[in-house]
Amino acid sequence: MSELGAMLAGSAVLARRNLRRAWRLPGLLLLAAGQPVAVALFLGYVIGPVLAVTGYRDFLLPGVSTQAVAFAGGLVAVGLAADRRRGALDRLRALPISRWSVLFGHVGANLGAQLAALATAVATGLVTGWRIDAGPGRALAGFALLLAFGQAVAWVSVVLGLAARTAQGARRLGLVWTYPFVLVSCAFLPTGELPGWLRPIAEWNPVSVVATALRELWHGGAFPARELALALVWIVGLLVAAVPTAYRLLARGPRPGAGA
Amino acid sequence: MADAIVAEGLAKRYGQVQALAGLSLSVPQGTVLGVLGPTGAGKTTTVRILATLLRPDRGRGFVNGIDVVAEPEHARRQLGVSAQQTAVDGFLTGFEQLELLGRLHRLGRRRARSRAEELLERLHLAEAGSRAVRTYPLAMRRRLDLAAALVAAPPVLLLDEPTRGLDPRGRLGMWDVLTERVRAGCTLLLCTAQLDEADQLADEIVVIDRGRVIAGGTPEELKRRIGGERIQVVLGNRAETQVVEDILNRVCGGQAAVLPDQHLVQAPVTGGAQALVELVRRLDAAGIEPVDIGIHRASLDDMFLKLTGQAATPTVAEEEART
Ligand SMILES: Nc1ncnc2c1ncn2[C@@H]1O[C@H](COP(=O)(O)OP(=O)(O)OP(=O)(O)O)[C@@H](O)[C@H]1O
Ligand SMILES: [Mg+2]
Repeated sequence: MSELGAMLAGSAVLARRNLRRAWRLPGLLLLAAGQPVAVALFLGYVIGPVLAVTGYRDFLLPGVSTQAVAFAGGLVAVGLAADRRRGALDRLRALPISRWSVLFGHVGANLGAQLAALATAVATGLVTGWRIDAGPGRALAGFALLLAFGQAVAWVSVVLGLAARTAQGARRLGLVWTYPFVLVSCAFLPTGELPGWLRPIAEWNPVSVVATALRELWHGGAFPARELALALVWIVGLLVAAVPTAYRLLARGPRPGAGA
Repeated sequence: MADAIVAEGLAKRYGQVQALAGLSLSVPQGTVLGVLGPTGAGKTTTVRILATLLRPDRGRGFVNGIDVVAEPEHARRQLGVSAQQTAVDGFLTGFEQLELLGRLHRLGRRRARSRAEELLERLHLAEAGSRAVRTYPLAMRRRLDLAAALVAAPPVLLLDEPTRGLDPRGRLGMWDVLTERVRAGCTLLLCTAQLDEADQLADEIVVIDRGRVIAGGTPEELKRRIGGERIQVVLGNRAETQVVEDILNRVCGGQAAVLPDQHLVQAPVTGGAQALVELVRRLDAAGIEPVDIGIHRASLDDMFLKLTGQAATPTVAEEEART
């Protein structure tokens, strides 16, 4: 088997292990799947009516979808932290396998959580009467954009999960770093609702950029080439920064876990 | 004979703590080296460096001639590692855990499965193989952890306190398995904080403290230096002291000593259990009924007292209480 083949085979074996964990200890999957439902319903029915935003449902669902994959992507750090704490990560690091397999195993399995989150976000929308206005091509492009963004988030979370001094810290940091981005963004509210000094931050924030591109793809008129390019720049930028860093951190080894 | 494991002047510092301060050791192929030391001595750090998990600040390590710092990927093919903290996945079954590792070692599905079955059988886990690992008691987890290290049948095993926290039965079970591995030709580096474990399993022992080797030799040599096993007889009646001393001298081949005010007669002994049976038989024949009779073994603490003139820091007993 070629080196690449071996690396991919190892990744698949480890992704299956991590999916088994997610399935057998389903707390995280339920969280990933339940959270967008709660957010969509709360914003749609409690906050929405108070806002003077026309077409809020079409505004909200792309935002909730973006937020959902970001949240689910962050969950990758929970499994990683558990592996750090229990010594499983060291066991894997001592095996004659590529370190990429360990990383892809985690990020790959995390795709399951992202799909679950996206599915419930969209299902909640559909049940409450939301529809994608664009044709199937642009609809699918939107989903691809979301999953690509979810991958970028997951890799950043892996970096934070490996860089943290303790396994506890890995779990927290990897999970919550996205929250400020989501809160100071146009995911749920138009940035016009924010105080003036926050607006530029909110507009350049990757969550906003992705949510905007998605809105334009699903509900806009002309093809949103500019918005999409901006979103891709963010996604590629995050991946280029995070992926090699994750590899370096794993090779160096996080601090060993006992009690940490 | 070639050395399967070599460490040369390993040094590692964590912030203020000099965990290793120029530690060297070597293990000839097919033998067992016991690395004996109290808590904080540097055992785990040594294993982690040799297992390619940690880079030393200075020094070099080799497994089967492969440099663990320069060529970690190659070194890993020679190694089976069982860490101090058992690293088994609670959410998998024992079988799934071993199969997973077989797949990662690229055994292929069929061979990974048969290897998993085989190891479960060999480590007396066959019954529990289809149960979630999280339901295993510690002794079973430890055995599974060892099985996990054995999946690829590595020629070199690094074991960090494999019997820590086990009851006497669990310990004996583990010792059997390790003895069998050595017979199969494995080279073992066995870290332990228990003198009797090193005595039982090791061909050679190095005693380490504060990141350095402070003594080394065969178990016999070390025990001779610190005075190994003693048989002690506690008497109710001082009038019998002389008779008992004679009997002990005969059983143990001389060197019996009397501590009259403590009603105690003792003698150094090897092969304590047989000697004890013989002693009891003779005491019985002589019509003597001792208050107490037993074998006392030097502990790691005794050894440290002898070797360094100070108690191991902190004592093993404190450490057991902590974990
Ligand atoms: N990650 C770490 N960060 C800081 N100090 C550490 C770290 N790991 C070990 N140490 C310190 O290095 C020294 C050697 O530790 P090591 O774990 O190698 O000892 P040990 O012989 O395995 O002890 P034990 O019996 O407790 O397992 C100890 O003083 C320990 O506190
Ligand atoms: Mg240790």
